[in-house]
Amino acid sequence: MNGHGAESGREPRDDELVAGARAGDREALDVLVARHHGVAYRVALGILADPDAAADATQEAFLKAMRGLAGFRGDARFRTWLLTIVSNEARTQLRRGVRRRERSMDEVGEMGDGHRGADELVAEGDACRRARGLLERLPEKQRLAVQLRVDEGLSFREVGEIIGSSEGAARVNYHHGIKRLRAWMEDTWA
Amino acid sequence: MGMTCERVRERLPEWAAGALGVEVRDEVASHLEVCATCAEEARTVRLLAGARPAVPGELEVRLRAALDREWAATAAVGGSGVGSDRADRRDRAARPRWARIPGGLPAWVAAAAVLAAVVGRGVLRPGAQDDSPVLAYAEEDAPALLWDEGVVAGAPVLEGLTDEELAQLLEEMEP
Repeated sequence: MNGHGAESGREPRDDELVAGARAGDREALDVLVARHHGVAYRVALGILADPDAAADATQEAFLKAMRGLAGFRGDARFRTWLLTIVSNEARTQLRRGVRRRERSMDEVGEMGDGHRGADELVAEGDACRRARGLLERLPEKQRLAVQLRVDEGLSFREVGEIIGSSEGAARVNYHHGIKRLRAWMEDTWA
Repeated sequence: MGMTCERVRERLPEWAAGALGVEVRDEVASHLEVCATCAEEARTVRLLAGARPAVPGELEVRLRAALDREWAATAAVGGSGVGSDRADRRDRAARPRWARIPGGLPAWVAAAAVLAAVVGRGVLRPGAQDDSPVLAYAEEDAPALLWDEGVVAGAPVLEGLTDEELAQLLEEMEP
């Protein structure tokens, strides 16, 4: 790889990898894939709720990103730009008829054995899975705002860019989402 | 002074991920001990963070393979670097010659080409409402208008064609 970071012994930054890829460095592209495919997949999964469809959307998004790399001006971070492509691609799949696999409230309530398990860790794991099941039931913007903040640690500004809203609206979506989840958790587990 | 509820809640994702510095982490912990509402929200965030979806192990390999195929396809066309002019050249090469009309040559040449097509083939039927041209290659820099019969009009430009190709194009469009 011809990245600047590699020469100086540090990890190359995304913008350096992008420049390398645009100059014909195939390995730079692989590093970008290694670095961002996980978050890309989870964003697609958050929208589609279907692992296979999420993998397809992730692949198509990376291909589109590769084709459009010349159009990436670097105003935004590469990750933000990529995740915007991913979310658009996932929504396109939804419009084409790929259906979200949503769980009903009853299904969410039946996930795992709840707190009846003797092993506290098992119970904790069940509670985590139930919380994720409830997350899937939030409206898309709230779901993505919560997911991008909690799973990926993205700033509200980045979240806003990805979900197509202002930083303030991203913050509101996040807090509303968490508030609803808390209420659902109390109802589901009461 | 301790952290406010709002400040604490904004930092809960980092707190749940163990990504806070010691000082801030301790402040959050102190707040959660005395604020039941924030503690409840912290539990929600912690549960969510505890079940982050796993990424399929084979996905990275699959993505690399897909990008390899795309890379090889664009490399066959030439250019320097992904997504720059490689894909554009490939896209242009994949289009029929008449659809490659872009914008760099004098307007009279483009006008002559369109006129030859319209007059020669008689494809324009102004009275028919369903003959509205559709925008083709909407994502390209130089959109062209396309009728069902395949005649290009609108904003024809001829970038990338040699004089010989242009002459051949006009010849092909003769009736």
